[in-house]
Amino acid sequence: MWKKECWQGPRNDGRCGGVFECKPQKNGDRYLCTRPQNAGGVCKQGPLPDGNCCLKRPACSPVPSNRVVRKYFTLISSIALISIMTLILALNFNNKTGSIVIEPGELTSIHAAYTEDIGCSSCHKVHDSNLHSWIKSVFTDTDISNQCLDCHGFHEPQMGAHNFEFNKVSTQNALTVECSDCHKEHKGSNFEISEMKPSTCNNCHEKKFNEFEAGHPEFPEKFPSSMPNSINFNHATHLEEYFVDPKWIDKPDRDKEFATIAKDDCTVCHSIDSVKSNRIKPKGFEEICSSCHLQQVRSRNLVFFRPDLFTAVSGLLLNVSEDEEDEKIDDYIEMLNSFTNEPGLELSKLIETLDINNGFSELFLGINPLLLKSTAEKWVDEEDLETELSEELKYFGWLSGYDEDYEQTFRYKAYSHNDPIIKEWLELTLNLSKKNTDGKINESAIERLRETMLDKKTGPGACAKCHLSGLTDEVALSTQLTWKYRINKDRKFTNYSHGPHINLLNPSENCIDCHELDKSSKYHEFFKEDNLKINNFNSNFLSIKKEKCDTCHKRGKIDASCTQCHRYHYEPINKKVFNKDVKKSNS
Amino acid sequence: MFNTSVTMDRPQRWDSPFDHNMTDAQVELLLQRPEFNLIDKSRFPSSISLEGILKNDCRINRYKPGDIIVRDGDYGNSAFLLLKGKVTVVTRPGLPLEILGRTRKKKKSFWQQISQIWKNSPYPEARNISRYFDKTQIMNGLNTNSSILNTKYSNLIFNELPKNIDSIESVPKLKEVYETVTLGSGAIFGEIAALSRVSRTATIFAQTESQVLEIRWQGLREIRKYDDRWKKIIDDNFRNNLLKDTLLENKLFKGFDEKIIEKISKYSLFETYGTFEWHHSFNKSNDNETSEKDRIVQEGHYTDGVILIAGGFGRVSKKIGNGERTLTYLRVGDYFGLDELYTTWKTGHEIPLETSLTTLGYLHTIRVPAHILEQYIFPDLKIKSSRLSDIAERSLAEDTLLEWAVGHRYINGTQTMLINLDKCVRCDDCVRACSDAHNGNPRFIREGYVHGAQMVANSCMHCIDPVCMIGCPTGAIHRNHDDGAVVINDDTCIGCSTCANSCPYKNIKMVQIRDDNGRVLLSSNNNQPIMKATKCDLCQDQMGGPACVRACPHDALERVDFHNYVHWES
Amino acid sequence: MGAKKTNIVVKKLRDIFLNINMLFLASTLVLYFLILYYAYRVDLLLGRSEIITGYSLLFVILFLIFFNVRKRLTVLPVIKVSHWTKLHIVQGCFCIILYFSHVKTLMPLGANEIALAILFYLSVITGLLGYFFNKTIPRRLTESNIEIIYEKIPSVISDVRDQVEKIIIKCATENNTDTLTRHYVETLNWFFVKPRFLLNHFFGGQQGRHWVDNQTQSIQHFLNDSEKQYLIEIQKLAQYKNKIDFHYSLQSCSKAWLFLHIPISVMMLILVFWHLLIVNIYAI
Repeated sequence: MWKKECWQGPRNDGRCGGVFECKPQKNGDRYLCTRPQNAGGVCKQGPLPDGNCCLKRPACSPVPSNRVVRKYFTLISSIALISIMTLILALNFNNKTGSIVIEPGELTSIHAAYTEDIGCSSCHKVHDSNLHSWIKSVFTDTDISNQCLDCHGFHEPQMGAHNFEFNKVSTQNALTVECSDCHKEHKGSNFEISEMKPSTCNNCHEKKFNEFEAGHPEFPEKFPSSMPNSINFNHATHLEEYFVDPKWIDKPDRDKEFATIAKDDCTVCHSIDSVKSNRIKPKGFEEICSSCHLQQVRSRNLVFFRPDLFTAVSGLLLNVSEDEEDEKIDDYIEMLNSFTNEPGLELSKLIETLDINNGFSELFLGINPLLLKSTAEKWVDEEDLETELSEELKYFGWLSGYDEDYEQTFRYKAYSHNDPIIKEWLELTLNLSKKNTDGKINESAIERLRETMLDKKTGPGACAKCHLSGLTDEVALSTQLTWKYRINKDRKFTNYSHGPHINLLNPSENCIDCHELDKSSKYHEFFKEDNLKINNFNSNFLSIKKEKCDTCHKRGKIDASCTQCHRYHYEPINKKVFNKDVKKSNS
Repeated sequence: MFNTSVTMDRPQRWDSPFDHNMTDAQVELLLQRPEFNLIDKSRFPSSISLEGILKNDCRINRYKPGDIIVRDGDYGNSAFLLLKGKVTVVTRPGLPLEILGRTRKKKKSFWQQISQIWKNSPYPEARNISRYFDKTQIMNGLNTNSSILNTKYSNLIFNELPKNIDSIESVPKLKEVYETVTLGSGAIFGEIAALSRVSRTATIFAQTESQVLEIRWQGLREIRKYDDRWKKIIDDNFRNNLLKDTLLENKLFKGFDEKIIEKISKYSLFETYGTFEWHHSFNKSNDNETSEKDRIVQEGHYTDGVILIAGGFGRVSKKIGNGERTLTYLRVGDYFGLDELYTTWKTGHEIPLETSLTTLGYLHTIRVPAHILEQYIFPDLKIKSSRLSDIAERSLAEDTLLEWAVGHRYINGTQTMLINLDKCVRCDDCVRACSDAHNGNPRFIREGYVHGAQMVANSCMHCIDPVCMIGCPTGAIHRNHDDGAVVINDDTCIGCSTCANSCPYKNIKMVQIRDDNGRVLLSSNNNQPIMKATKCDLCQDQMGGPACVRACPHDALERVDFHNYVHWES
Repeated sequence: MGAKKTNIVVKKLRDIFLNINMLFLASTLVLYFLILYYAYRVDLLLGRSEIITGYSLLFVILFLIFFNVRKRLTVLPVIKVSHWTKLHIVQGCFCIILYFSHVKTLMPLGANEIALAILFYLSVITGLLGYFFNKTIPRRLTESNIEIIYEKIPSVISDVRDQVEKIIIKCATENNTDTLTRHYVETLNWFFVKPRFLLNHFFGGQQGRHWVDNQTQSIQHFLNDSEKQYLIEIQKLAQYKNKIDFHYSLQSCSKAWLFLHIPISVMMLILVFWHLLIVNIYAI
């Protein structure tokens, strides 16, 4: 290469330009040298006789210029790249090797496991189809979210924001959200696909912030207890008076020992053994209430019949309103008369007439027909019944004869909390007062029964004393949560867990760090009213302030991202996965 | 040690006569003509006799009717004496460019411009040769004078063309739009262009069969010097035509009354120095030394007038140590010696010249006498005269660029290709662009003299003083009227190499041409390849100006007017 | 005087800020700001900002690649190549911003994307390397005080070698000794046969000069005065050849980086189109 180049240079196609210095021209019969001036001019020797140039040099192989080499270099490397990709694609389009030229990253392990069998087309429908739809897909939007719904189910609207119909803000209702807007796939097998950054929430939420401590709005008033529980339990009076004041604790039917420990330790009443939800449930009545309140349950009668008067129950059974009582007194006597024969049959006849036997089969559970019969016989004869029962059976269950006020009554007395008959009658009452659709039963009779049953002072079993809110609250009624501790469903998107907090704190002492007793709260006033208005409810705890949280939940300390406390999806379900799996295993 | 020496006779003035075919009989005949008969031969020095001038510096040309003698826009170094016949002078605005063989190339359209990428020939110097064949006589190099009748454009200028061109006695009348003057026997023309080195201002063609004596510039200068009658004719002609305009344009006389200028022109003297073909001597000895014969005025002498520069270049220098330092150079419009005269007039003390003036190759000057200046100009002189010697205050290092530019005569360039080597990555994109713009043939080489980081590449500089254009037999090399670029008309170039040999910078390249299939074109006479002169044409047919400048990725390449560049740099 | 000084300062500031480079820089920044701001807005509306940044990046990359095309279309009357160069450099540097706003990570997942990212980084790095070469090599070449066209180097070296050999032969015939001839055959020929010490030249070393001086020094005392004159001639030619080597080394480098930059960029472009296709088919 490091030689002098000839004056002609290589040919256009890159071959040697010739081995002669010139190409002699014939002029007449002589050959003339045609070497130009700038290459040395006409040579001394002149052309050979045969017309060839006298200066011959060995042929060379010209070296391509830098640019030519570069061009081929570029071309070859590009072709190599394309052919490698084509090869991989052509050989293994549908398995793991083939997809590496397509896949932009591994799926999260769980998705990978579930899409293993079907492959890419589990989500990308176009993957298995033909060229035509590939081309079409380039120019149309691709829908991935629908494939998500193959496995994931959500509350309707499934693509609506928060899967929830927001009635107040119509624009938000219209907003549809694609799954892939928030959940990014193909980010590696260990990627936390449901972990969200505050910015994701900020996309829609008008109040935008990135840090809990700086931007999160203050918690609402009455947080977290804006709604009454089903049980009317006044923490303030219990902790401040009943557990402390000798006036109460020294009473004979009170458990002084329990009161002494319970006043300082929340866990005496609230179970922290299995804290998974945001609620710390109180322990059962038997464990924590009965030592003081059992006597109240046992002290009340449910009066069914009197010798010559309508009761709330008998008024209902005969479908007689309070005003008609005097006129219908004959009917009543007749009913008592009928009891003298077949009291059980007569009672079921009455219930059937009223058409309330459906679903309320235990209204007269365990009634002693003989007792009723003998009672009815005595009363018809205008005599008083004197029953001599054993000491044990004297005070509970179906009773007749003189009661505590020395009145002749046929009555029922609860033995313990959660008495089935009292409960059955209460539910019947609530049921009737809620939907007496056909007007078969006299409204006034129902109203009288209701008043009797829900009377805190004299009501049977004293249920209404504590369960009143549960018994009157519309929401509680509709969801059949009359009796049980009600899980608060108002904060659908809040997801506070006591668990980790309790483990960090000393549960018996530190509850009050957040749950501070509000001594001046008008908790009890809410329950006084006849018509309970939820807006008027006041918890007897001070509302929890944001500051309580952001002492720990802040930048540099404990994660305070939105999803720490809030959840996006309203009632998500994965049922379809199981359906699918079941289907698959069947086939 | 390795130098070998060859001896030869010292070159003499008339070693190479203008025309070897001039015979003594012809000279005798000429001497009998009144124009030469009346000259006092005794005033000529013995070495330069009138006979010698006529024999060696003159030739007799014969023109057929219609032959062009002088082209508008040409540069020429000879004057003409009409011996026989009639010639027609077409004054400006003159004949169409097509007639003169210098059709301006049309700009390429955008599409044509793009199509160059694949349409460019794969062979070097390939051309569509069919356009040459209707001018075979030009191809053969036999008839260097083209006739206005022979071109296919002739019908543009004549009312009625004769059917048989060969048989006519005289050329028909031009259309009325052309202003013409008819000259008869004894008329002298073309002397201004020859002496003051400006382009010809009119086209002259033979009206009838004519004989013209062509006098080389050197010979004309001698005759003017030693014969008062010739001198008067030439000087009067010069005064009437050129001198007044030159003076009026000079900044020294700006704002003065036209009558005063006329008076000054009456008393002014004009002189030429140096050699017309300075490029020959420059090429032979590329030294930068001032020879004594080039010196016009000497530092320390007294001057009797201001020297205005009317053409060429002059070097202003001052002695320093053992050498001569170039302070600046003067070109058309500049003047020399004003400061000293003005101070003398003001103070009354006579002041000698502070600097010397020497010619750089060739210099045409107008000397305005001191007493005229003192009478008319100095009392009202407005411009603040700057002392040329003040430049000497600058450090020697500051002026190295100027010294270098003057030494290499780069001061001549108006479109010099200057490459900043500190920016140039030597990618040759400029050469490639040039090649793409010229059918695959680069018109310059990225080589040249370097000063500091500046390289003047081997590309046509489009000189102020275009020596390449002197002597072109067909006017193929010419200056564009609108942009001043020096270009070669490939159609009329006969490959005589005159321009290529004249160019002091070796920027014109003679090339063998090929047809579109890459076959070398040979002359039918002697089988020698047909050559064409090629050089940078400033991409006159391309949109957007010189492709080299546009293609440089690092702004390293510029086309500069060296005058501006040198002065801007310092 | 004070006014004059402020004038100079104003002029200098104007020179610095009101030139085409600044215009390119400013317009690029404004453009990028608008793109990124728009992408941010789209992000806020739960849109896919990747589409915005991706297509912007695509157009920037196409623009960058088109620089190569523009350089081929040498005579095209569209904007001076030097302006293209400036834009190429500015865009080439700033497209990294777009790249990260699109990819949002240093290294994506998936073989295809990883290959694309690596090629992107490589093309940026080779581009910056080229920029560095373009800024430093010309100056160093100029400072060598000779100027030579790259393609002529082989023939010039051959010329130098011929001259040296002629001198050697002349010396041998004149002095009837073969000391110099022998030294040439044994040692010097190695140097003259082709460019040497290229790496050292590239890093600015003086190994070549040192070698030449050493080799001429070492045989001085075997020579008589006449031979020494010839040796000096050879030394001069050797030093000249050393400068040519320097030019060869540096000019090669200023061309060699393109051997990386261009193929890498073209391969990247292929993967970019593949990525574009896949994304359009599978994701959007």
